[in-house]
Formats: sequence, C-alpha cells, structure tokens
Amino acid sequence: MLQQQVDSSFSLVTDIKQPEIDHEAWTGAFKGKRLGLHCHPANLVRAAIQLDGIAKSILLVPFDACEKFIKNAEKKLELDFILTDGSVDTNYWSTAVLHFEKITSVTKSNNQLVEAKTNWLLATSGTTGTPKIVAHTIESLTRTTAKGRRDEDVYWGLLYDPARFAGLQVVLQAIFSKARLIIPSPELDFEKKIEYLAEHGTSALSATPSLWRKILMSSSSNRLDLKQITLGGEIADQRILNSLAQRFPGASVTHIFASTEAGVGFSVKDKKAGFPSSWLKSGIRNVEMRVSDNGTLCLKNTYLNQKYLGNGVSLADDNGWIDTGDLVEIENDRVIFKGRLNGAINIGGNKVIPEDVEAVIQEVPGVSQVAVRAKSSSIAGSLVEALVVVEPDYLEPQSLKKKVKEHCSKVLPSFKVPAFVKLVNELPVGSTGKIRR
Amino acid sequence: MSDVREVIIDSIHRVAEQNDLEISNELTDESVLLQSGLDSLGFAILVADLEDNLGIDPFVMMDEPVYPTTLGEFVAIYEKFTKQEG
Repeated sequence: MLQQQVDSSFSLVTDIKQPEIDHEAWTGAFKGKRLGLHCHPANLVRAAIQLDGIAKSILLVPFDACEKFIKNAEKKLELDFILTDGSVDTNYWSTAVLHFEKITSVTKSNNQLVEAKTNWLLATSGTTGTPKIVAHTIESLTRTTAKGRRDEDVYWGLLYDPARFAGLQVVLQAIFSKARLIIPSPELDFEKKIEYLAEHGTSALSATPSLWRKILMSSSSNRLDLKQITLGGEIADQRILNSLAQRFPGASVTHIFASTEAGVGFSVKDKKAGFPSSWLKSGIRNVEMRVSDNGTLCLKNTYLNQKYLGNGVSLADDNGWIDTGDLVEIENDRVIFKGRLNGAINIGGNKVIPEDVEAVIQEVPGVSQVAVRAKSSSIAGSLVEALVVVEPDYLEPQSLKKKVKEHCSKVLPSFKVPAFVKLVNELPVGSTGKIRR
Repeated sequence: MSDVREVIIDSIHRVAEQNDLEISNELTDESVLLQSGLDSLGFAILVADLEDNLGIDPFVMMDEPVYPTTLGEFVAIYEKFTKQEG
C-alpha cells in the first residue's frame, strides 16, 4: 500500500484546504469500489494515497476534464462513485458524486484489514478527442522511480496535473524519496505558478525540454533556486541543457530516458545530449543496451525481466530485449536520439501519430491527398506540418488551408492541429512508393 | 522602429489569426510574451514563421539560448542575429 510509504513527514504545500480523511470511514465506504477522483490536484494526490490498497480502481480525472472526457470515461468504465472537493464542475457525471466532507458520515462497517492491488487508471492523451485509459499499479508506475533515498530537504514543484502520467511520476518520486511536494493551483496562469513555486522554496523541478524553455521565458524563473533539474518526455538537445546549466549553475541537470511501459529507463547527468556510446558495451546500472538493425535503441533490464504487461502483450523478445522504437545515431562518442521509427511526432512531450491527423484532414472536401510530417522546432521540439494535394476541380484552393485548420481544431487537441498547411502538386514519395515524412 | 520589429509584429498577428489566438492589448517592448495571448505552441509557430520570413532562427544559432521574457528582448535577439547574418 502506498500509505506505508507516506509517513507523517510527507508534506504537501498548496493553497487549498486539505480534506480531513477519516481512515476508517474511507475504508468502510470504498473497500473494493471503483472510484473516480475529480478535484484539485493536491486533494487528488491525498485521496489517491488514501485509497491505494483499498479501492478496486481509482480513475484520476484531469482537473480540466471536459464533458466529452467524462462521457467517454463513463462509457468505457464501470464507476461506483466520483469523489470531489467541490473545486471543479462535476455536473456532467451521471455517476453518483460524493463530497470529501460527507464521507465521514458514512456508517462505519466492520473493517478487516484489506490489502488489495488497486488499479490506477490514467488517461493517455489530451482532454479532447478520445483518451485511452490505461490501468497501472503502484508497482508498475514506480518501476523506474528511485527508491530508498531520504531527501527530506528537497522540495519538488509540480507543474503537471497529477492525473497525467508525467505529473504522477513527480508525485511518486517525492513520496518514495520522502521529499516535500509543492502544488500550485491549476487555475493560476503560468507566470503565477512559477512565482508560487519560487516563493515556497522549490528546489527540484521536472519538465519536458519544451516546458523548460517556457519556464526560462517567465520572469519569475529568476527567483527559482533550483538544485535538481530533470528533463524527460522529449529529446533533450544540447542547447536546452546548456541554457539550464547557465541559468542554474548550482543545479544538477538530469535528462531521463524511460520506456515507462516497459519498465526500463536510465538517466544521464553529465549535461551532454544523448548518452555515452560506451554504455552500448558496458550497460548502465541494470540496463543493457544495443542498437537494432533498424537503428532503434533496444534495452534489456537485467534486474527485472518483465515480459508480460497488464494487457498481455509481450513487449520483450525471448531474450528479454525491448525495442524502444527510438531511432539513434552515434556521433563522436555519444549516442544521440533522432526521433521515432514509426514517424510519431513529439510536440512538447505530446505524441502525435501522423496517420491520425491525415485521416481527419482527408475528411475536408477538396482534399485529394495528404501527408503529415514533423517540422523541427527550436521551441517545441517539433511542429505538425501537413502537405495537401488539392482536388483538380476544386475552385478556391487557397481557402483550403484555412478549412483544413478549422476542421482539425474542431476535432483534435490543439497540439495535433497542423501548425503549417502547405499546398503541393504531389506528395514526396520514396523509391518504395511510401510517403516520405 | 526597425524593420525586424515590424516583421515580428506582423508575424505575431498573422500567427494569432491563423491559430485562433487573441493578442491582448497593444504590443510594446514591455509586453510579456507569455501573457501576450500567444500560447507556447503559438510562440513555437511564431519562431518557425519568422524563420521563413527572416531566414534565421536565433534559438538554433545560440549555443546557450537565452529565452526572452518581453517583446523588447525578443526583438533585440532577432536584431542582433539579423545583423550578424547581414
């Protein structure tokens, strides 16, 4: 149970009133139940810690979840209750909604000590569109988390929603290392969030390279006194590592590479992009590495040979190697990441599958053919670019650019909407007849 | 008012228009970029748009990129690198 990790020293710094949790009442009311948590991020963290090992499953609902998200979640999942602190609009739920404060009045039943494996349900993509919901357990979520450290004087700032994978990772890292956690209110604007983190003494912060660029643009970032900087979720190039080292000279800078689903990961702390090519021979800690014939990085966890995951799909081959699907190249003495083999585009840490966007663009009348590809960006890592071939008898080809963007904005989350739409006479096709992205 | 500045202001309005973003108030040197109405994706598109128009991306050219807070700082970065190129 996660609670065993959380002794009285675990402290949360936030500006919302924390619910008083009656352990017995919660256990009695929610033993074996399927719950959704829809509330302020700090209360979501508190409630999730309390319910781990008690509830059958807990769905972490993003703070900004819209009606569509809620309807979709209810269609896919059986839920007994939604728990809230009243700080969000819960009117769209058709499931019974319970306020934290009311939970104390639940009749106490005969509580045996329960220890169940609770499923943590997390939505994978943006709040619009159709999110995929993935079941995790604390064990699977913390497989790459450093454990056993005691960092009582470390203050982790939380810039992500803890209902999202990246945010939950920070929360669990703080819990497992006995550090403190600072959670700014989600309704604050970005500048105010950074101000809040600075005021409350944030000393450790984790973000994607794109989010770090945004942090560096905020005026309050000058007041942050960081000792630990972590980058993940996107390729960390040398420029952002340099910028961070210069702005926060006293901080250690770690970029993390993790194939979290496969439970394998490693971190690089020498402030250089990629990782030393010598690791391909020697491995690092419990991870062995090699480059496949496709040019992708393959990893093998020698400590924990996890072959089968929740959905029963084998990620590893018979020898325990996992193909990460990340293309790498060796440059001098470093192994440098070059993007995804399957052409997936990473925009500030959000994944876009080109084919998904192509299918949406194809719906626009006047579009004959379309190819979606990455355009490299010094700010967001990549941006989405769509090449469109207009139908020959289409009357106003120039108006099509706008129509494509408008249609995409309606059905896709903003990071998937092509930043650039180019009209072309034909799509770039390689010798194999496949579209070159 | 420099040419670079005009190109940048034009580009901000174009990017905003094409991406359904609303630019708040009048843009001055003191305008804070993150509060100007461009979101971070919009800012990334702006930098790409400027690369098409000015032929440079200073954030690729700097070894240790300095990320600007205000419009004035942003313009100054572009002016410095346009001169170097010219």
